[in-house]
Amino acid sequence: MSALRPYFALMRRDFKLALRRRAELLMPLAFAVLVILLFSIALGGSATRLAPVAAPVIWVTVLLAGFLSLESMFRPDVEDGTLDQWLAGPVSIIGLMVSKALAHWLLFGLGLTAATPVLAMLLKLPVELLPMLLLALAIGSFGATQIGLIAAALTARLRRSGILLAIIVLPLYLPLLIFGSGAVDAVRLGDSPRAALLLLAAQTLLLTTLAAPAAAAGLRIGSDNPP
Amino acid sequence: MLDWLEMQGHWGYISASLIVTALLIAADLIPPWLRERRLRAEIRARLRRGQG
Amino acid sequence: MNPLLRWFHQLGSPPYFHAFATRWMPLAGYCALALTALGLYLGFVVAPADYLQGESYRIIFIHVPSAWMSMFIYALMALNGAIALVWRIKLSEILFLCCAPIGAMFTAVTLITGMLWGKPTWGTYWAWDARLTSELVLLFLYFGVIGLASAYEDSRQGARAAAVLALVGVVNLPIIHFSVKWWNTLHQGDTVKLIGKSSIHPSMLWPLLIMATAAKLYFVFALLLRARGMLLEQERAKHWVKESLGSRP
Repeated sequence: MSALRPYFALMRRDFKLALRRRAELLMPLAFAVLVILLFSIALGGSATRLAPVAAPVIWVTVLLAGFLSLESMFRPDVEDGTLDQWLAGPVSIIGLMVSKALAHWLLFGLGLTAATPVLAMLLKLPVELLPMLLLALAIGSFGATQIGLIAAALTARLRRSGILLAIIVLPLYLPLLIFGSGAVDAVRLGDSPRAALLLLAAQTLLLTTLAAPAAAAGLRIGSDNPP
Repeated sequence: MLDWLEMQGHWGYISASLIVTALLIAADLIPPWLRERRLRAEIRARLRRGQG
Repeated sequence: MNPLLRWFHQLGSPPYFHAFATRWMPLAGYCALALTALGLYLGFVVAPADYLQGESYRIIFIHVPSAWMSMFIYALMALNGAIALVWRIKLSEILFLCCAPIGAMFTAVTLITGMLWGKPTWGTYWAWDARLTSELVLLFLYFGVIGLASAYEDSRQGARAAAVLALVGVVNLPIIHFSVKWWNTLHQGDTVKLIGKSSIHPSMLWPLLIMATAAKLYFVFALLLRARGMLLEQERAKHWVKESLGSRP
C-alpha cells in the first residue's frame, strides 16, 4: 500500500483544495442549471415539447459543464511550481495522472451526475428514463474526464486556452454522446440499451488506458526535464 | 445565390465544385510559396550586405 | 547499412532534405498538373453520364480522391508526429506541422463537393450521413492540431504537443467513424450511399484512379513546398543555408 501513498496524497490534496474553493466547485452546477433554463425558455416550457429532447439536452449540458472545469485542472499546479516538482520527482507521472483524473471525476463528473435528477425534473424527463440516464452519465462522464485530462495537460502551460480547449475536446466527446444518449433513447423506444451501454463502457475503458500516458507526455512538453 | 446555382442544373453544381476546389488549392499553395520567396530574398540580401 | 535505411537517415538532415525537395518538387508538381488535366478530361468530357444520377455524379471525381487524401494525410501526419515524439527528429516535426493545413484543405474540399453533389442527388445540401459527419469531425480534429501547434510560442514545443493530440485523434478516429455509422443506421436507416460498391464501369474507374494519383502528387508537391519553407525559416542562421543560397546569384 505504501507504494500507492503519493497517489492517494494527491487525491486528498485535490479534494481539500476543491472543498476550500467551493464557489469553483459549484460553478459547473450553476452553469448546467442555467443552460437548462435557457433551453426550457427557448422551447416554450411545455412538457410535450421538453420531454422528448430532455435526455439529449441533459447530456450536452453535462458535457459542456464538465468541460468548464478543465481549464483549472492543471493551472494552479503550473503556476505554483507543483508541476515541475512532480516532473523532477521520483513518483510516476502516469500514476499521478490517474489519481488526478479520478479526483476530478469524483468532484465534477459524479457531482454533475448527482445533480441530474434536478435537471431532469426541470426538463420534464419521463421518470422511467432517469435510472438509465444516471447510469450512462456516470460511465460517460468518466470517459469525458479522460479526454479532458489529455486536453488540459496539453494546454496546461498556455496562457489562454478557452476556445482551443473546446475545439480539442468537443469532437472527441462525440462517441460518448452517441452511445450515452443512444442508451437512454433505447429505453425510451422500448429496446434493449445493452449494446449502447457496453459500447459506452468499452469506449470509456479505452480512453482510460490512453489518457494517463498521453497526459503525462503532454505535461513533459515545455518542462526542463524531458523524458 | 443558391437559387441562381440551382437554376444552372447539373453542370452548375459541377462547375461550382471545380471552382471551389481550385480556390481552396490556391489558398493552400500561394501563401507558403510567397512566404518562402520573401524569406529567400531576405536571406540573399543579408548575405550580399555581409559580403559587400 | 541497409541503403533504404541510410536514405532515411540522410533525409533527416536539413541540407539534404532541402536539396531533395528542390530536386523533386518540380517533377511532382508538373506530374500532378498533367494528371489533373488528363483526369478532368476523361472524367468530365469522355466518361458517359450516369443513367441514375445524370451528369452531377462527375463531382465524385473530385470528392472521392480528396476524401481518400483527407484520411491518408491524417494517418501520415500522426506517423510523423509519433516519429517526432520518439526520436525528436526535427524534420519529422516540420513534416507533421506541414501535413495539417493540407489535410484540412482536402477535408474542406471533400465537405463542399459532397454538399454540392448532395443537392442534385439527395435533394439537400446536408444530410447527417455517416461519411459526411465523420468528415466534419475530421475537419475539427485538424483544426485542433493546427490550433494547438500555433498556440505555443516555441514551435518545437507546439509541434510535440500537437503530435500527442494527433496520436490521440488517430486512435479515436475509427471509433468516431464507427459510432457515427451506428448512430446513422439507428436513426435513418441506410438510405444514402455515396458510391455504390457494386461494379463501377471502367470509363468511370480510370478518371477516378488518375485523379487520386494526381491528388497524391499534389500533396507531395505541397508538402515539400511547405516543409522547405519552414526549414529555411527555422535554420536561416545556419551555415548550410548561407552556402546553398549564396552560391547562386
